[in-house]
Amino acid sequence: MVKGQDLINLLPDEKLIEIMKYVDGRGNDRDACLLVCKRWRMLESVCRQSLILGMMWQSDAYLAKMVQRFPNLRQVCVDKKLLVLGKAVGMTLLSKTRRSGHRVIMNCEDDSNDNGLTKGCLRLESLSLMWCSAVLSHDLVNLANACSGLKVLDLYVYNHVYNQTSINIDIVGITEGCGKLLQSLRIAACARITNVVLKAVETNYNMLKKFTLDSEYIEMDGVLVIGRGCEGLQVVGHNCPLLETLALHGFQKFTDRQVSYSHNLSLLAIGGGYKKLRKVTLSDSCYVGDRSLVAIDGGCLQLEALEINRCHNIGTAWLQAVGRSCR
Amino acid sequence: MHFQGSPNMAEKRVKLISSDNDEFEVDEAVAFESETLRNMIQDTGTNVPISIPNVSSDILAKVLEYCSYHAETMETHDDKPPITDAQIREWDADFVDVHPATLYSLILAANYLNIKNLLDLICQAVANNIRGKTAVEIRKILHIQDDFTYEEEMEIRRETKWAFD
Repeated sequence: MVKGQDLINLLPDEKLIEIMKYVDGRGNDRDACLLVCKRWRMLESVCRQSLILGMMWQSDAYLAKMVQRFPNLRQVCVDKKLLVLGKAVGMTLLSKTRRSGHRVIMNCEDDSNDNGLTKGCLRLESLSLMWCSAVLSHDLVNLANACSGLKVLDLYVYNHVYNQTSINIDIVGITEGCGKLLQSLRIAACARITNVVLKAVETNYNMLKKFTLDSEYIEMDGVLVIGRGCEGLQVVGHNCPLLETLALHGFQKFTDRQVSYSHNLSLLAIGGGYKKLRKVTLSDSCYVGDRSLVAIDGGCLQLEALEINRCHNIGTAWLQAVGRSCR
Repeated sequence: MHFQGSPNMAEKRVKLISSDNDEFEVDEAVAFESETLRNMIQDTGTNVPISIPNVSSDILAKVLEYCSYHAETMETHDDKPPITDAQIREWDADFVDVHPATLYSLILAANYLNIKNLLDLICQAVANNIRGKTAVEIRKILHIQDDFTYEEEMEIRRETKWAFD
């Protein structure tokens, strides 16, 4: 053996990629691999499966470049106020998966035509969009249509500046587009969630196992819509037979008795519908009453965890019911 | 050099010749650990010595040590208890605890001879060596030439800022 000779680079691409996969772990190690030499950079880019883009990435062009660099991504998380996100996410995610074969090295071809949009993002399995206030509705819908293999979708969209209805359309569009494979859906801080949205969830996601709805930022004019929307939850209950986790956070602005009543009704429906439910979380829901919780107890025989935070209206009747069904 | 993979004398022996012309003789079962040798033997039989032009004798000896141990673990003996998985793992860990230069020669030999388990083992060992290291350290460990221009390196560093926080 010759000392000081670069032997590792005599290995074929697959073997080097294998080594990099073993290195995996924290992102930093993989980033170090990127900087070793040109060949390593190329190979590392090809086999990278997860990408998190944080606050500092502000330009569309930058994002496009980053996502194009890694053609085999399975997981993308875009975090915090990408103010000019808009088209870039839709376009780049799509363009990246077009070259999803192995060992394909991306060249920066322009995918910004409509054909690119329909090709699909089959490899992407998990997508998080956090605080992306400027995401445009039709981009998200395009994205959803393309990502037919998506299993986890997190939307955390605080859309107070832009037109609220656009976000509404987004979610319906996404639910229609996003394939039947989705197993986890988290919608947080979306200004208006209506029963149209929830019905879309119901008809499209037969595989859904986890559903989180967090409407902390709900505004007063949207409350009644949500009240009616909760009837949608009833429908979800009957149609998502695999659902195991349901979390409802922050419905604290239910000031109207009637709204709270319909909310109760929908929880009753949850009890009847979600036979497989293992975990229920309710927080900040002041007007949730005993009746609905009794119903949850009676209906969800597999329930393992029920977490209730700051729900002041719960009385002794429910505790008795828990006692009865936890025998 | 002789490697005794099995006490069964009825077994065929295979002659191997390293790049520096040393001759090795092993049981067929030992050679069969290598996919490449298996194919060659099936083509030409065991009468002709097989030359392995790109593996030196010290590395070939190491590789055959691995092969004969693993061929042995496959066999069952009435007088000895079977070798457990934990024992094999321990043996493997000792086996790759060698100088890095030896490790990288081994990886090439394992790749050429197509011994999948050995290759996986060494890939993991190499990964362990470079995990947690910076790019500069990795280059040093593996003797890799830095082929980026200054501008290219600056650009990558800009792109992957999160790695240098």
